[in-house]
Amino acid sequence: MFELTAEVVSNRSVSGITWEIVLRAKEIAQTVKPGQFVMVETRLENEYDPLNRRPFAVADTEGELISIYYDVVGRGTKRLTSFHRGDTLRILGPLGDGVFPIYPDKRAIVIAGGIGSSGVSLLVKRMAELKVETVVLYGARNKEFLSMREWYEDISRQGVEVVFYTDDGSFGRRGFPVKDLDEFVEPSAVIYACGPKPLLKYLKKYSEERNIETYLSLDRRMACGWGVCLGCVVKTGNGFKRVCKEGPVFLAKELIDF
Amino acid sequence: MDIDLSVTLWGIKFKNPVWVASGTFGYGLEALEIYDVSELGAVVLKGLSLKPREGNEPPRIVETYCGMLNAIGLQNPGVEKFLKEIYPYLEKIDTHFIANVFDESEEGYEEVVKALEEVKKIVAYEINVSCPNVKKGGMIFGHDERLLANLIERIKKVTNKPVIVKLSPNVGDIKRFARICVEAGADGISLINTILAMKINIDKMKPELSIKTGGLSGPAILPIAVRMVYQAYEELGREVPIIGIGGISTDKDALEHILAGASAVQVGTANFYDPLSPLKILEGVKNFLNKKGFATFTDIVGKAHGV
Ligand SMILES: Cc1cc2nc3c(=O)[nH]c(=O)nc-3n(C[C@H](O)[C@H](O)[C@H](O)COP(=O)(O)OP(=O)(O)OC[C@H]3O[C@@H](n4cnc5c(N)ncnc54)[C@H](O)[C@@H]3O)c2cc1C
Ligand SMILES: Cc1cc2nc3c(=O)[nH]c(=O)nc-3n(C[C@H](O)[C@H](O)[C@H](O)COP(=O)(O)O)c2cc1C
Repeated sequence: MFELTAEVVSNRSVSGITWEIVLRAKEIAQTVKPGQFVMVETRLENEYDPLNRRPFAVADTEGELISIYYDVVGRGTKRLTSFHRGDTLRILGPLGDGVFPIYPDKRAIVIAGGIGSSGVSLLVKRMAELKVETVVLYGARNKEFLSMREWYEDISRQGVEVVFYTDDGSFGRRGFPVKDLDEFVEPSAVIYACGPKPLLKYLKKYSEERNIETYLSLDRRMACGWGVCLGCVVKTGNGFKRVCKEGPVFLAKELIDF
Repeated sequence: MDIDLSVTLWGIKFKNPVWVASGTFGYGLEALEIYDVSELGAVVLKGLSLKPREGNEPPRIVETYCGMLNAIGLQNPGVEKFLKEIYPYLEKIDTHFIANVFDESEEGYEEVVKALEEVKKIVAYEINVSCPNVKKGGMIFGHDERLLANLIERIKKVTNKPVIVKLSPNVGDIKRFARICVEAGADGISLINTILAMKINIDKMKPELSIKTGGLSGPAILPIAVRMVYQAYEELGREVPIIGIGGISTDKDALEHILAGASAVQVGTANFYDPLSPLKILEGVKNFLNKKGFATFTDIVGKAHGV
């Protein structure tokens, strides 16, 4: 876990409401594991609003750089868009002991809903490097909201199968990214997912009915991100667990209510 | 000039007056991954009760302007599990620990204190009678003069360690409560805990937090905390140490507390948005003393009162 002053290398609007910010954060870039995230300061120095840092997945790394894809949904993410190349911001990471485990011999089904695509991209990259048989099912509202489409198109050239979905059919298959699951899932496959709550809830049910090992990356409001405030807990079979510390990735069957 | 930042309270020497507040630092172990915790003057541990407590249902936190609300509900493993599984790690950290104690009944408070009495690294107790986020116990003691005095008297009987009472800001007359604590035997008071508050989600048309209300903390509460520390010092002077808590993010904020009368300060919510803030505050206080020509930290405690 490193507390760093990170330099903004670039910060640009990608498409829809999504932006990509690239930060120089060597220690984090070199140690981050798939599923882990960082807490990013979005306020200016000596200003205290919005107060807390915001959690974001590390979507990709390259050398000393980390890349974050973020949807502009509120005060903090709006403020984040105002940082320019050369500015600095404080970040803490990599965070989360609950990461995506990789099984080289099992077929991987990776499901990304909306900006959840950034929560699984590093995993997909590792899978490609390790030549794990991988299918990505990536869905969003419409073509514009498939904001990591280019990234996934690139990775699909490295042996990963990527299937796109849009709710309105404006790109790829029409419908939710889980609608053809049976087509891809085999009994020994492992499911990995990040996305909106209804998607994850569906996958919990689906995987339990078929006894498929499934890992879900959860999104919770966080204050600290490093395990001390107990604000982001989720109910599991073993009581409340901290999404920022024991998560953000949990085995689906461990979760009781989320 | 060589600045002496140490402060001796109840015969215990603390390296410096910058401590971290209960519930904002866990049991000190997570922070070890970020910096050397032994640089802190003391660590006030997350509240401990006799039995394990699950805490409240989520959502437990929500951000507000320059602050946040929490309704954690004192989730903790209970004192027994703490001693077995967590305390051994604290033994290696070279600073003092203060146990924050909470329970639903007088017996509960007594039992927690007794369980910790022989524990070496825990040098004092902070009695939490001011948590707004639990139904039973807690704030009930902090708001009822008779219950409060009785609780302190009972705890004092079972311990030889200093007893600091953490006061609620949700009372009308803080001087009166400060006085009651001292009369009942408290060795110090700390203030403030969070301020009872609410945020409503207008889309859902209901409160944001599961138990509806929560405790407001963060920069937004600094002026309220400073006022209360100032008033407590007006009442108590240096009879017992006053520990200042509330809204401290920077050295300037900490100095306001100290000048108002705090013999030490606790950094709370700032640990969340700036994990290194306690160390920065320490550095800043030192620079301030240097600039103003004071040789020891204790010279400026309560200085805003002009005495
Ligand atoms: C481990 C983790 C990784 C994440 N990774 C990414 C990522 O890679 N890209 C990305 O765009 N987002 C990610 N998020 C979500 C992101 O943190 C929030 O969208 C962000 O904090 C919103 O901040 P804001 O100040 O813009 O919104 P706010 O002003 O705080 O809130 C705007 C609206 O969003 C809701 N909201 C705020 N935070 C959350 C939340 N965490 N979950 C659900 N609703 C929320 C609020 O209730 C409000 O309605 C991640 C969250 C977690 C926990
Ligand atoms: C998430 C959270 C948990 C807290 N838990 C406790 C607790 O267990 N016991 C306690 O006495 N105070 C607790 N507090 C109160 C703080 O110790 C402190 O009094 C308060 O937050 C005001 O200081 P601040 O503005 O610097 O945060 C908690 C505060 C927060 C934000």
